[in-house]
Amino acid sequence: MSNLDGIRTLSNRLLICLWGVLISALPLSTAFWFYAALGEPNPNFDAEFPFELALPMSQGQALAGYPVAMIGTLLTMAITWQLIRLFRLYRDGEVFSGAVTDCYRKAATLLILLVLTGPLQDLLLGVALSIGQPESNVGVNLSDSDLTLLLVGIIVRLVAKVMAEAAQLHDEQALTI
Amino acid sequence: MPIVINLDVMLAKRKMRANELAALIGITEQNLSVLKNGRAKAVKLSTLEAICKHLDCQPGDILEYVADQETEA
Repeated sequence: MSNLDGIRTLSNRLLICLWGVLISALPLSTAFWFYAALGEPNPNFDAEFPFELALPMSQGQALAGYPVAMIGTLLTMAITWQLIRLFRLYRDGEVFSGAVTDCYRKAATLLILLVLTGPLQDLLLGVALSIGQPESNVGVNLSDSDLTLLLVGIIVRLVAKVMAEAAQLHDEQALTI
Repeated sequence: MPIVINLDVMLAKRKMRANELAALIGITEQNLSVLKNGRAKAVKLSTLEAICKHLDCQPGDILEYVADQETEA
């Protein structure tokens, strides 16, 4: 099996997983949000918030916090979509091209954006959940995994530049007779 | 590009078709077309050697430098 065949086979399998992730991300996140917000506290299900919060929330709080809580999910879906585009190109045998570089660049930008919007999302969530409450709860949570994700985003951004160089070399090689 | 490929002229002089030459030098007709139309970015010495051998000519008969206006300025 040649390298290209291997890339095609693996890409095909990854595409199945990625479509699964893309389709299930929003319904699962919605279900988790409302379960965490409206359900009775469950020791087997640990819902973390960046600030102290009495659970279960009121329906109004849960609905107000829902759009904010989905920002991260939507960004994750956008990253997954870029990966689907990338692996489709790989499946079709297009390894070094402008479109591949574009996928890497967009995925990297979205990864960095995902980390940067994290604190903003926490702040907005605090504001949304404090509507109609006597005191406001606002907090920001930045974990090791966020910093790791930021580093991965920067590395993927660099890989995008390397891929742009590779695409240029590939073009030159293809036009060498 | 200021390098002009005069492959058409040589093919006409030798009364040879492009597909015949492609078969003789072992490249695809598509690649020969890229070369003829001046879209190629580079020519391998082995390809040039094969072209010269089968068209019985010199590299200078195929490749020509034509300075364009920007280069002259």
